[in-house]
Amino acid sequence: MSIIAPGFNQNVEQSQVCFRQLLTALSEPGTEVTLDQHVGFSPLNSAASQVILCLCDQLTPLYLSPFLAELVPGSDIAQAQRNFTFHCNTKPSSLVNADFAVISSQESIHFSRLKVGTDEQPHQSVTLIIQTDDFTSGPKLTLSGPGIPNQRTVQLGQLHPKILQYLLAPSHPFPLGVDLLFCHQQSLIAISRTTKVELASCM
Amino acid sequence: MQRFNQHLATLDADLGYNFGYLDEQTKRMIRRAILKGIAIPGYQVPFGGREMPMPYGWGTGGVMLSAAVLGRDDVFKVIDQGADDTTNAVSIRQFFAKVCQIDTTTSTDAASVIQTRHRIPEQALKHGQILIYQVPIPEPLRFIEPRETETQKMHALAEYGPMQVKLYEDIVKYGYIATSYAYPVMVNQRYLMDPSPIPKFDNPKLNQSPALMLFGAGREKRIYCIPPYTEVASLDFADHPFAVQQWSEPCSLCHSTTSFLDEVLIDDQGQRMFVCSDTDYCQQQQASKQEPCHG
Repeated sequence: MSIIAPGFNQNVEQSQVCFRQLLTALSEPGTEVTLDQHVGFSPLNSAASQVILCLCDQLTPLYLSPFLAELVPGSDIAQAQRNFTFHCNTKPSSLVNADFAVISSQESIHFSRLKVGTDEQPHQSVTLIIQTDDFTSGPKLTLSGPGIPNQRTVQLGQLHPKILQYLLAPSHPFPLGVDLLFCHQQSLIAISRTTKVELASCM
Repeated sequence: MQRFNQHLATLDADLGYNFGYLDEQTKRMIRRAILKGIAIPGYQVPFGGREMPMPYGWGTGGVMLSAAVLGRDDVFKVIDQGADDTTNAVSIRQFFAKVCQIDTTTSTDAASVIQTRHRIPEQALKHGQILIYQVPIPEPLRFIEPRETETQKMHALAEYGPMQVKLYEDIVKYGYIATSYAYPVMVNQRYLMDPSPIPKFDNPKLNQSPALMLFGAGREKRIYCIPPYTEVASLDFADHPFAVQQWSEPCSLCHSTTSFLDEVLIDDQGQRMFVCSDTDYCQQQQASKQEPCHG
């Protein structure tokens, strides 16, 4: 049996509020923003759900990793997909074809299989939403690049070695690449493809 | 009369338009394009531009960006060549006051979102402000290479030599780089970008700006962006370094020597005066100079 949970109750206004937070997050990578307009569709957390409610529609194939449901007992990934299909008209997709994909930070993922755009059309790439446990543990990362005056230091929770590896040494040269949105509860930190990520040296 | 105005006010409140004029589907599409543009600074993201209730050339690209960005708490300012009181600026300001019912201002300092045609305000922008440019032709290489398929390849390969040649031809013909507006820039050392027809006087303000900059071309249906704190370098040569315009006299109204000046003919005898193009800045300068006399 499928149960449809409510989406945004003020779609126009709440979408705009979420978008502006995303705008800040992506234009200033490493900045933590708060998305507090919706509780989320389990097993997706609040922030990840709001990104999809705000940005996705019938034109953006959406992938939700089944692995997410394993981390949240009693949740069902198909249920979340049905909710997004109802509210945003999104079509479920494979990871390879997705424009938006939600995965777990604990998951092993082949970045080489993701949509990363082409040299002439680098914008045709996936936005990868990664659900993580917190922003207070995990390796300390130093960020630099556009949107960051000097440097910024962040922690993105415990990351699967493959995700950390991609952050430190992206397998695709700029301008190709994926944009990463790390989500924890209502908080979101973005890492743009322009952001240079290094392990902070131990002091 | 009073009752008629009251009636008009209630009509305005129930316009029958969505907030910001555009439908939500279009806004989402524009928002996705903006986010991709931010992730690839200087790259022109194609988007499905819509017909707006104003002609191309009047800032439809900027208007679509503003419609996708603006929210209830924003304070909106519009400038046209620096001025708040010209037809284009007034009509766009009124448009958004009507379809968003948001506060508008002429003060650069008080605005959270500024839509601009061909100028960057004189007053330094702050972190958190968003500057939205109206762009006629987004492709800096268009006058060198008219084919879109070719310019896409040139951007893909970072093949920007022809633009340097264009500037070099200026030097050969005139002895200096005569390009004075829409002066090409390199964004984050990767993409060649047309900063819209702002005077090259404003180019240095693009570099490491604390404000977010969004560029919208309505007719050409392209969006591109510069995130805050991003390196933006104007093209030049070691022996002909980039330089901005200078004037031999100050503004006739506020006596500023550091602002961009417009030359204005004032009579049939060819008399002319130089005044700031940024009206808000000019008025502030005049006010600050008058204060000591009154105080």
